[in-house]
Amino acid sequence: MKVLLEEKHSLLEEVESRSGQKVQECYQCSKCSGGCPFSGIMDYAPNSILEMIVYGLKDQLLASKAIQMCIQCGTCGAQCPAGFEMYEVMNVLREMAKEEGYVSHEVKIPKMNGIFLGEVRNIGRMHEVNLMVKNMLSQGELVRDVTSLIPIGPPMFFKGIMGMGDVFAHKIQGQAQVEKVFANVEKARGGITP
Amino acid sequence: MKSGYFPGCSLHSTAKNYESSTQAVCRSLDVQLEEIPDWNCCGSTPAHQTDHLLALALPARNLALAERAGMKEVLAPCAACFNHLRTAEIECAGNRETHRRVEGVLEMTYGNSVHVMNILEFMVDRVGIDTIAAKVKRPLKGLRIAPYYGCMLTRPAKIARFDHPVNPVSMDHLLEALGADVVDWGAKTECCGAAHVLTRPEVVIELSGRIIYEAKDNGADAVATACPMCMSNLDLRQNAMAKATGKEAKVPVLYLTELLGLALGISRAELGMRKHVVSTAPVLEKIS
Repeated sequence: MKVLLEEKHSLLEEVESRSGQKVQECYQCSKCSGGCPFSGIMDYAPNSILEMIVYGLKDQLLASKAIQMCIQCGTCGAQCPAGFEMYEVMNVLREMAKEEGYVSHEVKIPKMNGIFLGEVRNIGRMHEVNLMVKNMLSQGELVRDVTSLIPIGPPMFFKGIMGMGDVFAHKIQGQAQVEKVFANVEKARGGITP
Repeated sequence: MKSGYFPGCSLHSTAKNYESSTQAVCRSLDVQLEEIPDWNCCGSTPAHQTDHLLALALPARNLALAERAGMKEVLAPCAACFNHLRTAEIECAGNRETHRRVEGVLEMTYGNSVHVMNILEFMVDRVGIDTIAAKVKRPLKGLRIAPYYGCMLTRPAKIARFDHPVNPVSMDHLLEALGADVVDWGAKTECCGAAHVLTRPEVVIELSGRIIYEAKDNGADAVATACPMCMSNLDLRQNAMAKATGKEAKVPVLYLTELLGLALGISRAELGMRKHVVSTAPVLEKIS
């Protein structure tokens, strides 16, 4: 029991000190979860996450889908009567999960993020066509994704939203600098690829 | 007036009409935009979801380049680019240790001297609503516009530091100055689902659908946006929304700068009005 209590204490303390948010001040009104656009597809809703931090349920939390789904839309924070920013907590939880090598139950989002950042690392910018194609091939739902493109693709092309000029990617001049930024962040993280 | 300019990746590909309309409107308002030389991607949501230091360093390189080019202010029309550049601006200025670490991974110096602005803030605070109103040549009379702010222009409040996080009004005032009939509606700061369209399209179709149907139910002729990601979700997915709900959508979505351009008398071709999946013809007919 003693060990468990110490562990509870450490997760709460670490999250509070790294995020600058007083998790203990949450009184579970649940407005964050009511407002969150993604709470319906999260395994743990935002207010539950705060409670799990207090209870020290670290393994469930750091491997959860929920922490990968927050896109910092800020809806929760704008409605929070205790006045704190949940997204800061989510950012810290994702970073801790990465540092401690947790394998997330959410596969799709980290995969897409990796493809996006790979483009940025390799050419200095995000290339929309490369991102779309590589992401479709990696998500394992090729039929669904290609079908969904049928009503969109041709009008995008005919109306000039996308043209042949968008197919090829061009490196920026300072691509090596951008590559260096990635490498330096990696070094600062003790070798973990961002 | 001169200003630095950060177009971002989308404005150079699927949001070319956001770029062309922003440029045309600025020319017509005597604003000279100077693009940050050799800018890189701001890292967007994938960087912030992956690593906080990377999420600050990628936009900070652009701020450092802008500083070298002598820019004091940078206009970032894309709401997401604005949000991430502003995050780097504020976090570097607010914390010496963060600033030092960012400079360290950039291997560049950055003197915290560049201020990032979104398009609304730029038009309202820098150019001024009165100046714009005085230049309106073709008022958008009789056009019912639903002003859609989304998330990134006003939230998180401590980053955006602009207008109200949940009930902003600056776009409402700007559209009124153009002569439009501004729709008072409940979805102006709802999230469209953003980049989850690449991993959970069904969720994004539902979230974006709520916004489109809310606009339709309130009698809007069009929705105005200042974000390429929102544009893509709201404009491209209306077929899928109709399929999911059994209700026709067909609500034109326009960039705020396209509406500004129309009111300032800029030609449709110059604005890039054709580049929408849902036809903008009904909007154009109503004001011609």
